[in-house]
Amino acid sequence: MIVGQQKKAEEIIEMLGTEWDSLLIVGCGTCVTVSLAGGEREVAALANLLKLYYGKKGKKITIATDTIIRQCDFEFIDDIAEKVEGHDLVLSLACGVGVQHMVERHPEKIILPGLNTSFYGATTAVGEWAERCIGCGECILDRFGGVCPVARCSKSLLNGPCGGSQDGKCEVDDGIDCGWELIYNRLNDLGLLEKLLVYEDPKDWQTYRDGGPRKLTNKEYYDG
Amino acid sequence: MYDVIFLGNQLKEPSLTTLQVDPEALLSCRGRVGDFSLRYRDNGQVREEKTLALVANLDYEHEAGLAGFPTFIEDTQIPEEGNLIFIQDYGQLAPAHINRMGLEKALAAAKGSSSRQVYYFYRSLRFTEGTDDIYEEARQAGVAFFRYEEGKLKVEEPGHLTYNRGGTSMELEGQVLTAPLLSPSPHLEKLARILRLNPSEEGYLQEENVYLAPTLTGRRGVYALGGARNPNSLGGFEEEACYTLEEIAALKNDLQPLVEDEREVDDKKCILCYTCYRVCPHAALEENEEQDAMEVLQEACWGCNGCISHCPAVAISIVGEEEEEKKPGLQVLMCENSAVTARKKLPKNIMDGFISREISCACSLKKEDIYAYLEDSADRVLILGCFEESCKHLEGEQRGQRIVDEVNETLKSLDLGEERVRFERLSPPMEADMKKLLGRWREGQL
Repeated sequence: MIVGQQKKAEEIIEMLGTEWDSLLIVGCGTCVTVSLAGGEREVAALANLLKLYYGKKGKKITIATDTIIRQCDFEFIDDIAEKVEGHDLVLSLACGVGVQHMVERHPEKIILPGLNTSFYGATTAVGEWAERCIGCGECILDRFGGVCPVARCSKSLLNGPCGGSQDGKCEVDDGIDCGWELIYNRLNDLGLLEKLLVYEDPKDWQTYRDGGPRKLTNKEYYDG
Repeated sequence: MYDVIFLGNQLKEPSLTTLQVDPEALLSCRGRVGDFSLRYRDNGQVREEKTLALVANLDYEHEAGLAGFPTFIEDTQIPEEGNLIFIQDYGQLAPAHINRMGLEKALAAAKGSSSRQVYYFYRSLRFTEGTDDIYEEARQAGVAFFRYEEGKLKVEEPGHLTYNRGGTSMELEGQVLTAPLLSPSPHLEKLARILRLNPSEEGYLQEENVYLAPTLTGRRGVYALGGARNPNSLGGFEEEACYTLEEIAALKNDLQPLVEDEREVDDKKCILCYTCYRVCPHAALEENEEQDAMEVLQEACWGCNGCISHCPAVAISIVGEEEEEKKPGLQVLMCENSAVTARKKLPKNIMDGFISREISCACSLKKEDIYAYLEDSADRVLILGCFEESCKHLEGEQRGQRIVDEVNETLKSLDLGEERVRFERLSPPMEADMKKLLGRWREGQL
């Protein structure tokens, strides 16, 4: 899923500026709810915090809230069209995809991001997530024991670790496991170490960002 | 449907139907007290059995306190002649039962031979019922006791010990006997994960918590015995086993929910994020596959409301409970397991001037509510919760503190005041402390 983190309250307040009277905070009920950053609970907490802040400043404002299932699909955005139109500003607690989709649907509105979109990750403990994929567009997990060298090696090396791998940790930070140590251990456990004897050609990054903003279609469904 | 499935060693109890399952064969455990479903491997097959209760009953792992030296556990043969050097607490403080066992062995050895010297080294003596008499008797029988500090005792070769304390140095010769070092069974890590229990720091299935004595775990209907519990169980196994089986027999006759109010999950709002499943200290939430949503298992619920406060989709609520009206003012939120009891022993007017409310646990705090309480700049919130080791909901104290820290940090960053939310710990007999805390809170001096 997409993992997000709510921006600090000071940054949100600075971003909102002063030229508004009514604000709509919109949560997103899928990925960022799971990553405890932009679901209904976070929307309610942020709304109450902002009311507290502007109350102290003496600014008369109204803050409304809503949380829709996904901000990355127009059908859900359309459900709150009237609310969006009825407020001066919209603060979206969706990932960057959701914010832009809201912008696309409501080009006349100022839609602001309340989260930092962090990465594609998995829940590793309550309140902890870890990056597992960068969305490179060409999955090679089959060749590396199910551990991605692109996402989990800080240098995205494809033919073994660098000299900065120490005691299973990455030189970038002791808290990061060396992706190559994980790959080696996993293939060793599976008795498949010979896979690592195959030289890996340089990766074709055109499927990633090097080909520009990406788009894909599913021919079975797409009639464009 | 069995009455008890033993994970590990099986106990006999004619009035209960029992089954033994190898902990390593266990695959999953769903359900709640009265209706657990266990899947496990058995001769290459995956079996599923239902049970009312589960008992994890495993032996300790133990090794000598000093490698190569015998320990003074029950079956150790004490040499009949020659000096003896008992060493307790080497590398790990010995539990009370081992402490007692060492004293008994030392006493017997001193009484058995008048020509030998018996030395007893310890870092901390722990007395249980009768142990002080044994200690006194051992002293009178000539056992020489020495308290040592970690690192100040050296056994450099077999039978030769060097001891340093406060400038004095001593060298002794004799047969060295050590207290065993205990460690949890290697199965416990897996059991804790599958049974969804919070293990102790050392890795035993039972945390140090007053609500769990003697053999309860945080999950109702799951019991920890012997080496699955923790070293405090040593010496009391028979009584604890008896208690456990009696508890299960009582549940078999009459299984009632622990709390009256039901918690419900709105299946239209639940997104199956599993946050409630992960934060519930009592393993009382599970996915209901028919409803495609989580479900609170009423018989398993201890009523902390941590699932409600942590659900990111605001999908869980108490059936029939209405939204509370938030009044501005000096707030005092009291945990029903500590401060509420203490408050009852104070005069009625003690809460005058406060907006007070009972809460089920500090983990039930919601940051959106706390912000709402602070509407006026003079408003402040005092939370009176429990100490960590006496938190009925095991992790509630820590979760509550984290919520308070997060709120205070955010308020400070926006110049909305410092420490406007306080979390103080009480226990039920601490009414005098509560009175002082309230006085200082009223005066703004906390």
